[in-house]
Amino acid sequence: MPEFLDFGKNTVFILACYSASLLVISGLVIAIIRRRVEAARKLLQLEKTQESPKS
Amino acid sequence: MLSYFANPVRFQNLSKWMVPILGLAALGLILPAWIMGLFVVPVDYQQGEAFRIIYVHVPAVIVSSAVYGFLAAASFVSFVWRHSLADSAARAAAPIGAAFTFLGLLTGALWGKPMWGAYWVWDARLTSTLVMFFLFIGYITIRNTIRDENASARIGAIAAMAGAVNLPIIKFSVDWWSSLHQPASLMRAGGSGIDGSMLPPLLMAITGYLCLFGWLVLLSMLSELDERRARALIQRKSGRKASTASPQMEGNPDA
Repeated sequence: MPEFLDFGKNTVFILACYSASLLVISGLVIAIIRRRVEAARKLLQLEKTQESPKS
Repeated sequence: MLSYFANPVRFQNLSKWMVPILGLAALGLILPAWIMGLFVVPVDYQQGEAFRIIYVHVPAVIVSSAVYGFLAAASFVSFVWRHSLADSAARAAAPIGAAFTFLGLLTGALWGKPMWGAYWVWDARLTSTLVMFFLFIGYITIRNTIRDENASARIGAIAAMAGAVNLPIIKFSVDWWSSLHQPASLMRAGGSGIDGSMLPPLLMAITGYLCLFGWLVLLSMLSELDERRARALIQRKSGRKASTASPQMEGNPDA
């Protein structure tokens, strides 16, 4: 383990806290952005088919 | 003012410039706060290096309570005035609040082990925070299981408003009962008890988490608005198909 990540006997607890925070927040951000992109894409697709009812 | 922002078009226009600002602010505050918390702030004279967990634990628990307050307030507006945007806000806030509360409980447990010798104790502060986590989960379950949108919104709003009674219990539990959890050191009468060298990254992290919540809740609300419009378009389309199909059916005796 690199020296700058060595926090003595509490290293495991500190790194676990920061890693878990990074993981949960990243997961939340990715899930919400994916939903946003999917919702916008689906709406755009529907609006296009509304504009051209023949297709 | 509420009715001014309750207009979905106005809300979307406002969100267009709020979303990038909040996203950048969240990133620009949280990352430096974590780096400072891990590598710059001095070691605490009592808790040693384990003190560094404060920069992920305290923002998560403070913001999770704030998110619950937001959920209860949005539910109240949705229940009384039946604003669909307030309902969207409540619905969007719940999973984010659940995630922050989960992080608060997890980082608290990981801080508790080296400090108290146990990951979990049935202490008033910890237990009331766990209750808040279940309140978030309960609200999400209500919203996802009741099919009737109006009934789901109203029952969810009642549950969220009733659960708000837990917020003062979380805040004052350390004063009302003898607790293993340390008393308030940031938001207390007479000012913060945290040393000036350790305080700025903590305030940056709390503000960053608040911006992160704002960013994510706006993105979720925009998604829900788009999903509602998509559902409306599909319904209109299927209605049009049915109306064009019915005269043919009337003309065909075999149909």
